[in-house]
Amino acid sequence: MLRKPGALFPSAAGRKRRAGTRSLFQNGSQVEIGSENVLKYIGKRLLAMIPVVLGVTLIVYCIMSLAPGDPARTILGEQATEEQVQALRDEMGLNDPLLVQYVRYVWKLLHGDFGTSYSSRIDVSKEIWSRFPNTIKLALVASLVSVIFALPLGIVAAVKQNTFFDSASMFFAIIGISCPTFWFGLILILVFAVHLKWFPVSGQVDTLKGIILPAVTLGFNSMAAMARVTRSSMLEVIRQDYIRTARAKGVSNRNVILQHAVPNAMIPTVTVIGLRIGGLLAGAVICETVFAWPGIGRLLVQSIMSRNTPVVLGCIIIFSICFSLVNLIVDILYAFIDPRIKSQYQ
Amino acid sequence: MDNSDFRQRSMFAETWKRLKKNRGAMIGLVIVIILFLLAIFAGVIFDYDTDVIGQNYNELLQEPSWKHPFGTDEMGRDLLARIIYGSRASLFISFAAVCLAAVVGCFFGAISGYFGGRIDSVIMRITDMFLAIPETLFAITLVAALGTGTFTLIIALAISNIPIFCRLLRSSVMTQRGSEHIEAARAIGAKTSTIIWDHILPNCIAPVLVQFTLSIAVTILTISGLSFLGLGVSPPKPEWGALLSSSRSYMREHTYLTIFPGLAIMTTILSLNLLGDGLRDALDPRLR
Amino acid sequence: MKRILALALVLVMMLTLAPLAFADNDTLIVAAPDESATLSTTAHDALQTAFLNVLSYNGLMKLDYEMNPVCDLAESYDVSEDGCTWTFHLRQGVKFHNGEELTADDVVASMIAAQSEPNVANFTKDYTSVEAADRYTVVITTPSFTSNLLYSLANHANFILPKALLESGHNFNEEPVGTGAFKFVRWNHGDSIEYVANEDYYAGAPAIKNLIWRFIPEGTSRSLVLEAGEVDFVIDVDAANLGGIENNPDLYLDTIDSITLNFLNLNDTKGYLSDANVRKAIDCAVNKQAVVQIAENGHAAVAYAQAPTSFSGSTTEGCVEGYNPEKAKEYLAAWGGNPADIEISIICSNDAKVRAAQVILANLKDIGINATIEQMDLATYLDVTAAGDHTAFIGGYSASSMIQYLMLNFHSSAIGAANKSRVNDPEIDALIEAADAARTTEERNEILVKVNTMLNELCPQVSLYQNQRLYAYKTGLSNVNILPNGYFYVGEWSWD
Repeated sequence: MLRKPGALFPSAAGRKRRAGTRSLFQNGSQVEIGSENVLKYIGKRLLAMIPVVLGVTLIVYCIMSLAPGDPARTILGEQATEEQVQALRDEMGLNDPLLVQYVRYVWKLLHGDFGTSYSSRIDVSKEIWSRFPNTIKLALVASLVSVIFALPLGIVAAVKQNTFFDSASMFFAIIGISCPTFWFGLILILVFAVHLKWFPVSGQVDTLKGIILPAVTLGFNSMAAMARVTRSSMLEVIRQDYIRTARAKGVSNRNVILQHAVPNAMIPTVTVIGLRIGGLLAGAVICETVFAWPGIGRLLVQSIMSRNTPVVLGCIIIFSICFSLVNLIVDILYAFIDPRIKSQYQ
Repeated sequence: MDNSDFRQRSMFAETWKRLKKNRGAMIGLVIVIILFLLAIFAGVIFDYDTDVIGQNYNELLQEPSWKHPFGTDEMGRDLLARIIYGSRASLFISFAAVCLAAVVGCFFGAISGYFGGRIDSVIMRITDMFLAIPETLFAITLVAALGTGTFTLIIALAISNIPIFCRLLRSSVMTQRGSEHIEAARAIGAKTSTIIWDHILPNCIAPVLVQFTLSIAVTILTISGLSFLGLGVSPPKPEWGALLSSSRSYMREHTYLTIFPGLAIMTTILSLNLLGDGLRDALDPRLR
Repeated sequence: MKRILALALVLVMMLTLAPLAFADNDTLIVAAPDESATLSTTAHDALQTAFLNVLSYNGLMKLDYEMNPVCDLAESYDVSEDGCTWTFHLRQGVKFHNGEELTADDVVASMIAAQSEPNVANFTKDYTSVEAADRYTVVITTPSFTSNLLYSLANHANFILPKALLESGHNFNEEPVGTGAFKFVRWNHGDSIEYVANEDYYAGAPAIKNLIWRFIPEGTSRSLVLEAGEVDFVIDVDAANLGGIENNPDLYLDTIDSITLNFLNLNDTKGYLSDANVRKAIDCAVNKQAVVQIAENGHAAVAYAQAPTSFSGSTTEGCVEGYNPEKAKEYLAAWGGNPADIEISIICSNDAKVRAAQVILANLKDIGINATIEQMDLATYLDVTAAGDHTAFIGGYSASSMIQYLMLNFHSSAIGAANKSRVNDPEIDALIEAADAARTTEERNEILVKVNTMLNELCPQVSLYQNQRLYAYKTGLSNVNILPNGYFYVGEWSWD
């Protein structure tokens, strides 16, 4: 089998297709590592995040600056005259050259200052931290929902490969990514909240009932990818020698699947959870609007539309850090779950 | 060259043979083909000015009937006509965007994978940055910057899809770079461009094709998300995402208005996914 | 596997803890469409934020149910002979939420602070100085007599804040402290704001003891939360979505004729739109009845005059006579050009506007004009229209008086601001100023009718309709009165 270089963010397709061996390092450099080197490795990866995050801010900063629309005008509204807008632009430092503004922003950022929201005049870090835990909560429960649905579906599909069950499970799994988030969310509200009255219409951060509909809406979106990967890795595992050995030893089919095959097939599924985080966070934008969920996604969209650059940058930085961290965690977990990779450490 | 051509043909033939056995993938393929035919011949079935954008205040919000199989919308327009015409915009935008993304992404991916070294690091660090921004969010930011409209929508969606293809092709190329037939081509002094074009790219088509179908599916959904936020295709031109998004105000009392465009999107994406999955299975020798 | 399940269970249990305290009969939950960026009284000019300001603040004046300014924190006022010196006598013993007593110094400090805020410049430009004559007397001077002052004093811009906190740099963006019926408790960003009743409220403690103001941006969701009983009161019900509320005996749909005039704005300086005949042709061609039906589900009154008809001084004199494509073609013939050369791109920023624009598009096509629709986000829209780079957009405007409406929409001083048709006519300017300076109502109305007739004949933009404000609430809620500008006073409400 070909050795595939593992990348920091390999494409979904690329990563899903090869579950076998993988180097921990980017750029295909395969290095023998001892256990004390793991910390060094984590440190290195964390350091590597800094240029990525700064690059992200540069990209987003450029796009936001090129966009038509003036934050000062948006703050002052339709009634303000041109002089008032100009005065505010001066006050906000928007009339300085773009590069000066960007360097000023990064300088402050490196000192831990995310700046002040143009519209609310509240610290960006405060704006974000008051909403961020809600988005994380939603994303976690949504991941949980998708795992709960995806694992059985994938396992059944693999065990009963090429039967009706296989097609039916995969069909069900795909439904989640086949419909637009807002549509799926509204349909769920109509059916389960308005007609059946099982759940509240709007999301409620503090109650279990209140989180289920938004989490299902969001979770079903990731379910397909996860179920699909579970299925293909199960198919691969089932054909391995140790499964054949277990069967030959007379272990019941049920036990073979649950105790021998599933734990091994879990590995690629774990990595997909990490890969889907980006999708989850993006889906959260629309899900939060439909369910009036007080998360960061809606703040971000509103800020983009009002050219509230400090908030946009703050949110995007948080998103990209989350994304990179989750990938790091997944890579480390991956190394420790997979006995073949773990053996390299010992 | 002839050799690789031959190999390629047999590879396609074999993939096709395997694909034919996969019922889901075949259903997906048939539906996708039907959709394309409908989109191409929409003009034969309906007249754009009268059926698609012509308003009829005597038939506002009519339930589905023989005259209007999918009912009429809030302006008395036949929903079936709008959905069929809508496929044009949806499919065109997503195909154009993903094609553009695939071409540009593959170009940089191939360079990155083949040459490696510093070029590779630079390109990969840049894609890392783009990939760290969730795709939908990136598309929203770009549309806000470029403005709405079919053309800008294509550009924005293409840009947000480029990194995926870039990554994909890079890893494909890297696995082949060291293989024997490339070594051989290099040994006989073939030009770099010839090696990439004639010997490496044909072998990378499989994963790109799979990603292509899946990206189109995702892009159709992204457009509908943008429409939901008021950044989609401008009316009265029909587009599925816009149809769905504008019908949500009526979903309580005129549910059919949101069900039909929703089903249209679902069917298309389902077919594309089934096709993509089937292709992947057919191209992956281990899962046979 | 088991461990994962156990972990999942723990997570689920953690989420179920801390359930929300649920509504009892002195709690009111309101669903509002937009979350305010700030709770300041002066750093915004947004209606939704003004609703929140009204909860916790008072001004010297307030608007009654007929939109007339009446005394609020002021007990009475006198005007000098020349109309330039206004003396307000404050109500005594009014307490701020922090326990301090309201004095003339607070009024002076608040209004002077407001004057430096550009967002509310239109509401602070009526007065030049504010002085405290004694502990309970405030003297306000105006450059000339202006009838508009009392309306401006009822605006959120001139609400009264405690001087001590203003000087100590208290963060009013996040923590309002005023004299109003409700005290601010907590702002759960992105979700809700919580208030409790101000037991020391000068007009009597409110019957509603706890107020939760939730933000539910999506129109469909907002209707559904009320139907499901999760909220008690909904601001701005989606007009397309009324059946579930109207057919529910436990819910009441309140329709209030608003003073917001919705229009198809035309940029009179762009291309052929500078010709009044072209604009009148467009006005005649638009089937406003259909626009109302389709954009607002019939919940609006068709408008023909250039200014809202809800104010005295309005007239339909000089307007084109309703939907008439033949007449539209006559206007086009009078202009003499080729209608296909007229370029119109209608900017729309929400679903109702997009629906209206689609009807207009079809109507214009009937007389040979090819228009297009352009969707933009708020920032781009504001920028493009302020710079005058647009040809047309669908918008709405609401003011608290006729003079204010005319001043902001058609006076040349507002070009680059709210005068987006860019009307620049010295005669109209002079008449609006004369109406503002008029001392008697009769005199003022006479001038207003004259200027309105002129505007109708000029037809700077196409008036479409005055929509209804749709509020819905549980039938158990009593004493709910909503003003034409959308304001309401929760302090007066109670549960049966």
